[in-house]
This record gives sequence, structure tokens and C-alpha cells, in this order.
Amino acid sequence: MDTRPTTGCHSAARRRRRAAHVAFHVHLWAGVLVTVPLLAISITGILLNHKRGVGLMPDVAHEPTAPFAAALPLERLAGAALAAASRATASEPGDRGVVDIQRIDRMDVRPRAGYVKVRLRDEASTEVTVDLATGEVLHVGRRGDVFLEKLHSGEAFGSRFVILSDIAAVALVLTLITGYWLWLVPRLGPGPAAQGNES
Amino acid sequence: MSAGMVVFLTGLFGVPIALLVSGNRIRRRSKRARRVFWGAVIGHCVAACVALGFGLFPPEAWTADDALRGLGGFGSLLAFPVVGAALGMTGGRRTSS
Repeated sequence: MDTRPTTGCHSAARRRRRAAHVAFHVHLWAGVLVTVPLLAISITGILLNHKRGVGLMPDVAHEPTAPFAAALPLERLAGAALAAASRATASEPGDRGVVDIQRIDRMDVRPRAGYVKVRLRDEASTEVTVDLATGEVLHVGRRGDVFLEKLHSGEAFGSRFVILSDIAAVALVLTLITGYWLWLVPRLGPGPAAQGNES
Repeated sequence: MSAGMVVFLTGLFGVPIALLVSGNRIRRRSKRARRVFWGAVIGHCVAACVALGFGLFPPEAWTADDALRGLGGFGSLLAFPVVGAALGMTGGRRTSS
């Protein structure tokens, strides 16, 4: 009597059981190990999605006061921003007439709104909103979302710790795949009658 | 890497690994071992909430000698499971004789 088909069924069933076993353990370990990082990523993600609503980001309503061609040079705008930030935080203003670019993180020009947002490299990530045409300081405030972004990416612990969010993301993908595997594969395989014949 | 970071990473990944390993066939263990395990699990769950809460504090609200934030944000993930396990070991319902 030829036993080859039965052996094939046996090995297929064994492979399925082994795959399900591996999927279960990957699902369990990956899920438990990254629970806390994923919670942190999820909560900071929700807060970042609603950063205006929860007051993490200053929202300055402004209309352009002059055509974009009449905008002041970036150097003057930066100087006005640094002076305003120094007044607001009562810190040392530095040399008059010299813009210390080391204090500036970025300048975000918004021509349609007629202002530039100057973000400083301080702990509070202070942001100064300056009118492009007049150099008038419209707003000085902190950007709460900058730290949340760093926490979201893991960068808050150091630049190398971005790997934390990478690990969490890979583990989430693995958990999803293995979760679907554990849910769907038993339903797609042969029914209980066929499995009974195999064994 | 600072000592605080080592404690934080141990609490973040080391404690769940230890709990997963020790949770294997937990029903066959003694009552005391089960109490220790569940004490550590509950401690880690509480610590996760505490660490997340402290983690959301913006950095300008921190000071260099802020021991509470250091313990809450970095140390709690390791300290709370240990405290939970210790409570599980020493506590438990006593039957009156």
C-alpha cells in the first residue's frame, strides 16, 4: 500500500501547527515587549494630531501688511525675533547688531499669512512670530509640540534612541501579521473532518 | 549611557521579558509565586501609566535635581514591579485560625 499521500498530509499539518506555534509566540512576545513604547507613541500621536486644539502650538491670525516683495531681509527679522525672545525670557540679548544664528533652530516663512515663525534652540522651543514687512513681533510663545514630536520618535532620549520607535513599529507590524495569521489560517485550512482523516 | 537610561531600558524591556518567562505555566506554580507574578504585572501596568504621565511633562518644567520626575519617568518601570512583587510575596489573604 502506498503511504506517500498520508505522509504528505501529516507533514503539511505539522508545518501548519509549527507555523501557528511560531506566530503565537511572536504575537505574544512582540505584543508584550512593545506595549509601553506603543502606548507612548499612540498618546503623543493623538496629542500631536490635535496640537492646535490642546494649545501646544501658538496660532497667530494675521493678514499680510505689504506685498511679499517688500519683505525685510531674513537677518533683520531674525534679529527682531531674538530681541523679543530675550525680552520675554529676561535673558542676555547678546551683542547689538549681531544675530547669533546658533540660537535659531529654523525660520518658517509664511508668505500668504505675511509672517515668519522663528523657532529658537532653547529648552522650551520658543517661537517668535514676526511680520515680514514691518518686523513687528506678533507673538512670543513656546512650542509644546516639539518635545512631543521628539518623544513620539524616541529622540527625546538621544538621537540614537529613534531605534526605540523603529522597534515598536516593526513589532506592531509583526503583531498584526501574526494576529491575522492566527485568526484566519485555521478558518482557511481543511475542516475538522479532513483534519480527522489526516491524523 | 547614563545609569538612569540603563534603569529605564531594563524596566521597559527587561521586566516584560522576565514576566513573560516567569509567566510560563504560572498555574502550576505555588500560590506565593503566583502572587509575586501578579504583583509584578500590576506594578508594571501602574508604572507604565506613571511613566507616560511624567514623560509628557515638557523639558522646561524639569530641573536638574528633580528626583520625582527621574523616579517617575525613568525608575518606575523597574521599581514598581519590584515593589509589586515584594508586596505579593509578603502580603496575601491570611486565614483566621
